[in-house]
Amino acid sequence: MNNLMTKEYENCIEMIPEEYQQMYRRLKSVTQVLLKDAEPEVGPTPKEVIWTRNKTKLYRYISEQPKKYKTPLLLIYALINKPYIMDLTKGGSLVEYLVSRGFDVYLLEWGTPGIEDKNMKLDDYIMDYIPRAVRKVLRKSDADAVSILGYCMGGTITSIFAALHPELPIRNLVFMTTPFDFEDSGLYGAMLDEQHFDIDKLVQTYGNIPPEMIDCGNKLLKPMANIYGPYVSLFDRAENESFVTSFKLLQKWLNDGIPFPGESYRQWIREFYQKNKLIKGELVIRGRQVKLEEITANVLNLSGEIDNIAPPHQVEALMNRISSKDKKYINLPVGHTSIAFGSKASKLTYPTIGDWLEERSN
Amino acid sequence: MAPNFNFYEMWKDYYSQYSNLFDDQITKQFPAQAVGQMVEMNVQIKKMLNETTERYYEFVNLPSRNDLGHISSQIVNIDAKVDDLEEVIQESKDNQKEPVELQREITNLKKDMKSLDTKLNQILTLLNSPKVTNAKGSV
Repeated sequence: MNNLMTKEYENCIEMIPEEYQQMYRRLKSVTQVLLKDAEPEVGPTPKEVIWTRNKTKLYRYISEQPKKYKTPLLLIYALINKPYIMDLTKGGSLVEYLVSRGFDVYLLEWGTPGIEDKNMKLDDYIMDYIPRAVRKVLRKSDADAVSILGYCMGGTITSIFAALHPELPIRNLVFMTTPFDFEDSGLYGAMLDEQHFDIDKLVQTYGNIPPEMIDCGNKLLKPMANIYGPYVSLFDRAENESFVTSFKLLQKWLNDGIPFPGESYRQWIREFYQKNKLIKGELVIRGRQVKLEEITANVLNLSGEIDNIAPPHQVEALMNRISSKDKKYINLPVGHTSIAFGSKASKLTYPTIGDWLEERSN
Repeated sequence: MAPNFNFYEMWKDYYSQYSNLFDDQITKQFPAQAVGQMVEMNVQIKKMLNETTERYYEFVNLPSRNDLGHISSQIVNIDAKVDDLEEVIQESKDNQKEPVELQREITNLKKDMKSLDTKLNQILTLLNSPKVTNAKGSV
């Protein structure tokens, strides 16, 4: 009966002008995507867990491809959102690309913090978790050096880790849209100004900062474009299957945030955004001053021209501070997320990273 | 109505212009104070809810989220200690030689000792031999 009615209805639609028929088709597709479709599968590259501590997991990607390079690559993501943006879907995955080129790829996933993790500081991640993970990678791959790729805030903590651990054999460092200099942090600076933003009260009340709050802060950078823009684009391109697939994948990732451990958040906002201590050489992690000039590994530093979360000037600032002889900065025509997923990522980011690492991984 | 009139396209043009204008305005004059006040209000409400819930759970003799958090943090501490121990064991294992390699080294050492022993015996035999003394004496 229902099918019959739907058929009748569809027949009626065929009688209206073509532009309205198109609008109807788009509306139907948008409704399908937003209300009916199941969430897409993410993280397709096969992997195995090789180490866990608290909620943190260290994965090694499995491949039938023979390993071509001696130096394994460890990926470190931010404490915001989940790292599967680097392995979103088949044919649109940085991990898949690097694995297929013969790199031995590992990923450090922080997991979803609970209320018991509210006292976790950046010090704990930098001094306890990352060094242990690096040792596990070296042991598992039977390698004498490692490459590390840090994305967004993951790059910032990677740089601190590298500066504080000269005893570990870090050969290459790749930073993707990583902020280092917070002096001019644009709207974030205004939003997080000490005058109006009481970080202590927020951390004390919430314990861990909810992902919705962080997402809201990011969306406020361009409210109309970030809140309504994706849905207008979806309606506009609802008949484009590849666009709809990408939309679903990105929306899943964007809405799949994780809480930010309270103490780490307090440090991140106060020491970085409000006081800009890292680039000034004033940051102290577990009683040790962080000197970026201690970094001697080969460095590839990538920024995105249209990135409004970590704009190019915040990223490039690292280059004059480090002591590395082999260092390269590239400003790609991408945004904060499109550096890792999308057609530009596949055409520009992946080969740039792959080629650079290839020359330095044997 | 004009034949090519499309309501959606008209709305989209309007939306596009208006949203760009709005976003530009936000960029130029970010309402930091208003956002700060909103966060403050949110925090106040959350604080009140937290306190009320905590008191309620205490009243009905049920563990609160914080109580569960304390237990979880103890589990996390144990997990960290186990991980540290595992690492110590692994490091000590790494420093130990493989049994096969160790066996090979012992065998090599035995061979070296045997050959050294043979050489020493030869030297001793030669030293004690009367022919050597006689030969030296004749020279």
